[in-house]
Amino acid sequence: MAETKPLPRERLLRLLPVVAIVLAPHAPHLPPWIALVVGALILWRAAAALRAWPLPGRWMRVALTVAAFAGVWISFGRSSGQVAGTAMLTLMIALKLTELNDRRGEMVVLLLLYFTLFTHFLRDQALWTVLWMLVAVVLITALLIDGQRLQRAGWRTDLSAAGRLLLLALPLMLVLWVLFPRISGPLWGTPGASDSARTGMSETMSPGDIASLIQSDAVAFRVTFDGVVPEKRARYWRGPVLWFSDGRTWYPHRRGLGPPERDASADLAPQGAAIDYQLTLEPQSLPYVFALDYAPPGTLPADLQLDAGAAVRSTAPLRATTRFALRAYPEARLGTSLRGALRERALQLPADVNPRTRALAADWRRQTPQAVALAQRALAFYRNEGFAYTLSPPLLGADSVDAFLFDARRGFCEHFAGSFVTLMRAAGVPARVVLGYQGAERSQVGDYYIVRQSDAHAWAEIWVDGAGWLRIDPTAAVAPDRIEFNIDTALEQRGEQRTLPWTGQWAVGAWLGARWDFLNMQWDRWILAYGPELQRALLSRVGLGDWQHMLLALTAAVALLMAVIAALAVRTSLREVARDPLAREWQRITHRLARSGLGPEPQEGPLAYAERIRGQLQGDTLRAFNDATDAYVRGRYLTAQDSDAAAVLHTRIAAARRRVPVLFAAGLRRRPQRADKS
Amino acid sequence: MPLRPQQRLRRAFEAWLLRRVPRQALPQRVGRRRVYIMPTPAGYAFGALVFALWLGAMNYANSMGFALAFLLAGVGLVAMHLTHANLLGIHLRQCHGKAVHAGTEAVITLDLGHDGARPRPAIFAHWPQSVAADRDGADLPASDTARLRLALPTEHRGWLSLPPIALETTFPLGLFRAWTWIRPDIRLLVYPAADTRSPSFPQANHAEGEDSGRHLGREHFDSLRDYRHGDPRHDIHWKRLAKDSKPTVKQFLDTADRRLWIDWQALSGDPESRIRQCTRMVLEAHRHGWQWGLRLPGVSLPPDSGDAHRHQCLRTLALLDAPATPHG
Repeated sequence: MAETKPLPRERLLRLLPVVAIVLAPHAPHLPPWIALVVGALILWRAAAALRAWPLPGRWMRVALTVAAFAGVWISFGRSSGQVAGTAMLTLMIALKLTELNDRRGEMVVLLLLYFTLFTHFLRDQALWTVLWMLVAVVLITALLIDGQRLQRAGWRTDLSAAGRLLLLALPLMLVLWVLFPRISGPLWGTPGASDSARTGMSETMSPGDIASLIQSDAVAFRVTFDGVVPEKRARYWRGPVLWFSDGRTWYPHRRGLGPPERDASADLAPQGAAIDYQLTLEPQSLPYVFALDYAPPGTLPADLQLDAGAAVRSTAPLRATTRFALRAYPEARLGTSLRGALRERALQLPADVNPRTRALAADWRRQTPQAVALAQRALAFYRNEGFAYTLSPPLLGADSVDAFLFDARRGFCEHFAGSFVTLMRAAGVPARVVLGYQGAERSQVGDYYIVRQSDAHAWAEIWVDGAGWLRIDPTAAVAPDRIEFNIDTALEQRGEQRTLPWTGQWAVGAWLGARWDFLNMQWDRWILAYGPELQRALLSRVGLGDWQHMLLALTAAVALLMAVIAALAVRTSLREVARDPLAREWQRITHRLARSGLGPEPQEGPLAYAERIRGQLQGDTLRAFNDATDAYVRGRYLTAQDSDAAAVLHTRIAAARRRVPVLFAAGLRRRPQRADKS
Repeated sequence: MPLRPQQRLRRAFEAWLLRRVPRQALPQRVGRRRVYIMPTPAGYAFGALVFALWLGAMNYANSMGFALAFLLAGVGLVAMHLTHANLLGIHLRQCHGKAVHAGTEAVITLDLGHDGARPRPAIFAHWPQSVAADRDGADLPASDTARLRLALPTEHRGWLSLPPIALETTFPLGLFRAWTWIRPDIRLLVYPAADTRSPSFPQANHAEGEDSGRHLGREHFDSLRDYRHGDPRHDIHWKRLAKDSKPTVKQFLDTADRRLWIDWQALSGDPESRIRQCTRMVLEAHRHGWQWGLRLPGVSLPPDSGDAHRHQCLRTLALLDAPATPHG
């Protein structure tokens, strides 16, 4: 096939802006040099087309390609992974432009652009991306259409043709999207955690970690309670449990030691009232499902399990928005016995740091050896010794717990939780730090609760023989508002506030924000979470619970749609216009009248037709119609030689046609008529 | 040139399709029955792209990825129907070409048209691959016609039945190729090829009569005189008539005997070679504006001149049943 025809300059100059539009959303997420190189190559190609500069030779292109690979390798270390792949793809498209001078090359670039859209969704699947996708697909498709024409036909024509094509394709997309059986699980390697620059909780805790997290109002997860809604102060959403401290930073376990194994200390027996809820989790880089305390193992869906700290983990990666049906027993007792290695872990402290803290704890222990009494003493210490809750604590030195407890006394939840656990361990009480979220705000629209990154929290648990793990939240001792209300209220007490996006600052912004969040909630809940489980659950309601039935229904629906599309395409394609100019004008008038419900019957002659509908017209329309009928009927009985007379009649009927309104309610009123282009 | 397996397969497929295309009188309208449609290489690439997107969406459990993959799948399916519809209802109204000599290319003009209300962009015509590679295309405006030209190589003299003509389009997206075959019931006259090697008008056989030893070519025309009643029409100098108001007549020295006869019997070689030689002489005599006659086995054309005579001679030569026995 002779497809390698040269690419005209105009077509190239149409292609380049579309390349720029499709690649632009990637720019902020790639290293700046890539955005610059890609932008420069696009501009250079446009200039080369306008000034007829020669394209670089083969060796130059090879050198550029090698340089691009090397650059990506230096930036990312390895040329795999989503971000590195996206960087490579955008660079390859830009480099392809340097040799682009034929139709086949244009086709390659356009297909690559289609693919680039997908890489965008790996990072962001928000509601607005639908619109962006449709616009980008229309643009690319319009270029494909333009590339097929022999003579250019205006970008409006191409865009409207592409738009029509997409309108026909949308029902197919919907049917496929809903009915095509989804398969769970990754097919090949899961994306590495290092790749995703998602904000979210990390698995370690050092001073300042959570303080930076709570600056974000991004949604962590949303919750719909089926019945009882727990009190605000009971809404602890458990995440990573930290056992190991190096004196400054808390980790889940010591490097090289491996995670603790679940034993009797994580036993959970349902007790008290149950709370049923649905948790829709935004994509996470860590496997934690932030379940409400406490989730007994028997109530967990498949794929979820408890770890040694009674945190709920997913065995499958949580790359997509996922919805879980969970049950919590806030009054359940956690743990029956703590022995051996785990007890040692719960008492671990770095040997030679924080001497003052150790001394204080030893002192307390001599006076009050019981665990609960020790905890109360520590809380009283926080309450009474002038501790303050603040987002901007002073920098702490090497012995950070000492510095916090005895000098600075200003800190954030991680300071309180970390120092509390250190105190307890130093006093011989097994204790651990728990990360997670505390709170949940009811949405202004819709019956659900939102947990944001700003609800991130750290608290402590101590082991009390006979009672199991008890939750102690030292932050509550200092800033009860943090637990009773939310972080902003707590900060207000000190005259502090977070730097919030505009939506948080004005009432209108809040109002809009709430509605936008509701939309996003629905989007996340129904669209992004539409995986194998939700699909099966929803489709089983209409009797399509398994993939065989889905495929059957899909085949039928696609066949039906294809038949409709074929009929539409053939109909528009074969609809004929009259060849005789007079008849063509007459046909246009009758089509126009037919739109208002006054079309001719199939076997009706023009005179009979005119007689029939004349009564329903009035004013200008009636006069125009009478003129047109007269001219048409005369024209039909002219002989072939009367070309002058035919021309006169054609002018008359065309003039009459322009006076017939495009659309009107017969006999009642007429709309303002539109200027007719033809 | 050896064919790649892919091309060979394609030709075999084409030949298989062509066996079921009957000869049809023009005009022919492209109906729904005989439009074939296949993906183009770009279409296969697009299919692979959609599949890759689907795999990727599944791997990353990405809902928008599914949406994109399925949207593009829909776009491809719709494009298939639109490509098919772009060809429907097109008429091949006329199809003709001028007679040429064997071995040269005939230019066949095709008049395509349609009555549809929408334009039909990028309609192409071409021959079967086994015949020739020439292609021509046009964007057909709404309800209008366009003229395409296809070069058709000729090999043998005589009637050349037009090979089937493919009308095809890849519009709108270039992902599918819809085509149909039309085999117009039209034949094209192919004149014999003119001999280029043997000298023109060898002395021994270019004429007859007592002056056969002389070079008639320069001498048989003498002068012009005014027209008199009764002069033969072919002696009138028609070209001059356009300039002068009164007719003049070409006067010949020896009108009867010196007329040129191109005689089969005077030529040597096998029949096809003689036909080529005759062809060459006819062309040369016509170029010089001479009068000539043609004597062939079983048919004789009296001396005359002009385009019609030339055509008559060439046609006779083209359709001559060559005698089986070679001349000894």
